[in-house]
Amino acid sequence: MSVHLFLAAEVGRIQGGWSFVWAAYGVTWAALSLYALSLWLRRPKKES
Amino acid sequence: MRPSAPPGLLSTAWILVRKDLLLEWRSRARANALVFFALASVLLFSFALGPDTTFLRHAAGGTLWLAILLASVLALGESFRVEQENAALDGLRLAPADARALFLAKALANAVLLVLVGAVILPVLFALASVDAVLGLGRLAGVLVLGCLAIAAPGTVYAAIASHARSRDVLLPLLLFPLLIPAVVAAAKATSLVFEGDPMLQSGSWLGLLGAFNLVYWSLGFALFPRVVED
Amino acid sequence: MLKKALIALTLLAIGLVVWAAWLGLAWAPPDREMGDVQRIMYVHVPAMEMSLLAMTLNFICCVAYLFRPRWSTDSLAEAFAEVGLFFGTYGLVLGSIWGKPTWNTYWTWDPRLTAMAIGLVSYAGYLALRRFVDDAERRAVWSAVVGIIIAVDVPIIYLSVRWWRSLHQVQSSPATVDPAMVHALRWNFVAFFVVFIVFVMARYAIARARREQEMTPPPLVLEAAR
Repeated sequence: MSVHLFLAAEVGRIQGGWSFVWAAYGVTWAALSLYALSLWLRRPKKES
Repeated sequence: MRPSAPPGLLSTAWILVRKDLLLEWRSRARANALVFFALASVLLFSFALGPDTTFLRHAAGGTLWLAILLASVLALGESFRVEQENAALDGLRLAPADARALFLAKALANAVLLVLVGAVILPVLFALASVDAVLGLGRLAGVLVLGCLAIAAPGTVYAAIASHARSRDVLLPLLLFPLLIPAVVAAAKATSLVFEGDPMLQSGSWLGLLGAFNLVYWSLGFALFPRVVED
Repeated sequence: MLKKALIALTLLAIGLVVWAAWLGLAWAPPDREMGDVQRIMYVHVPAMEMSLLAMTLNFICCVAYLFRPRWSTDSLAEAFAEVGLFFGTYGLVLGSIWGKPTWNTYWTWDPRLTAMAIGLVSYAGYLALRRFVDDAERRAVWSAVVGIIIAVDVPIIYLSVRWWRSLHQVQSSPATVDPAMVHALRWNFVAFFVVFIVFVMARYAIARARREQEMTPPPLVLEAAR
């Protein structure tokens, strides 16, 4: 009986969250890097 | 001899509206093309959405406004092409015509044209989708007018810009469609309610959205259009 | 001088992002209901805030340009638009990733998400317009007009959760949130704000340089003039 109650207490949390978290942070870092790269590549060149 | 004062804003606008509508009536080519295009769109949607008449009935409001929206791109694009030929726009600006009057006139003429297109589509839609104006033709006319006004105001501003840019045929819908999403959604929903009845009295909020949209974009168009056409 | 400042700020930004990511991923506690998935908040919310900030600043520049036409104002407007589009786009993706475990869907047509999607397409249109107009002065005036028109959406994005019944959470105040989470979120704001500044500075320089290039006659003409 008490085991069932213990399991019930854990049900509020979302399971398997970390894959989503890593996906989100991965997207963030990739986006920041790619945009920074694009800015770097488009940087104004001085006339020689 | 004192030169006569230039006509006021509203009378100028009225003169210009009559000019545009007269040109339309004289040629009728553009209006005809628009109507046929809109009808073809309605038929295409009906075929593409399938033979299920229940579904078509529910989709009738959306179908109407999608057809009007697509026709509007043609209508708006053309409304400034007319002026570009023979540099008529410069002629208009040299005459003591306030650019704001030009905006009111163009936008109003475009709205009238779109209402006409809608009025022609509706009987066809009644037949194809077996819908009827359950809440009355007056309400339907009101939604039609409000929706067409909502498309015409920002559409006229964007058409003036796009007519001078490259890829103008792509640029106009690209700019206009995202902007019009709230208006088209509201008009389509309000139309669907007219077709299917409104037991939960939702029309008010959709019409309110449409009204607010009109208020905001007619004001903005009125204020900003002069900057678009000035040199 | 400005280049040195940009390099310094870039290094600061990288450091802050790493620090803030550690706070969000490791230091902050998991949420009582959402668990660890809630950590996405630390990257999603600052991204959206930066996007809205950029859009607001673009609006201000557009209005300013119509009153006082300056290339600096026009270039700044362009920079804000692109940076705003950048933050908003990946921010929306982050929100979508967060939505799957919490709302059980990647997307929904709720008022805030709809308004944000409209906003992003609008700013993409703004940038497309700038690409399609060759005359620099007309480009500046017309994009200022378009910028003002599309800015109407920005308060709607922000206030939609308050006006309509929306799936998206209403803004929470620090008073109701765990102080550790507030701390982590604040550092993430700072980090992404410094990133924002770096990106705007760099993008502004690009825009400004392009204006200069458009204004100066090509070398052959200069030769002939001499």
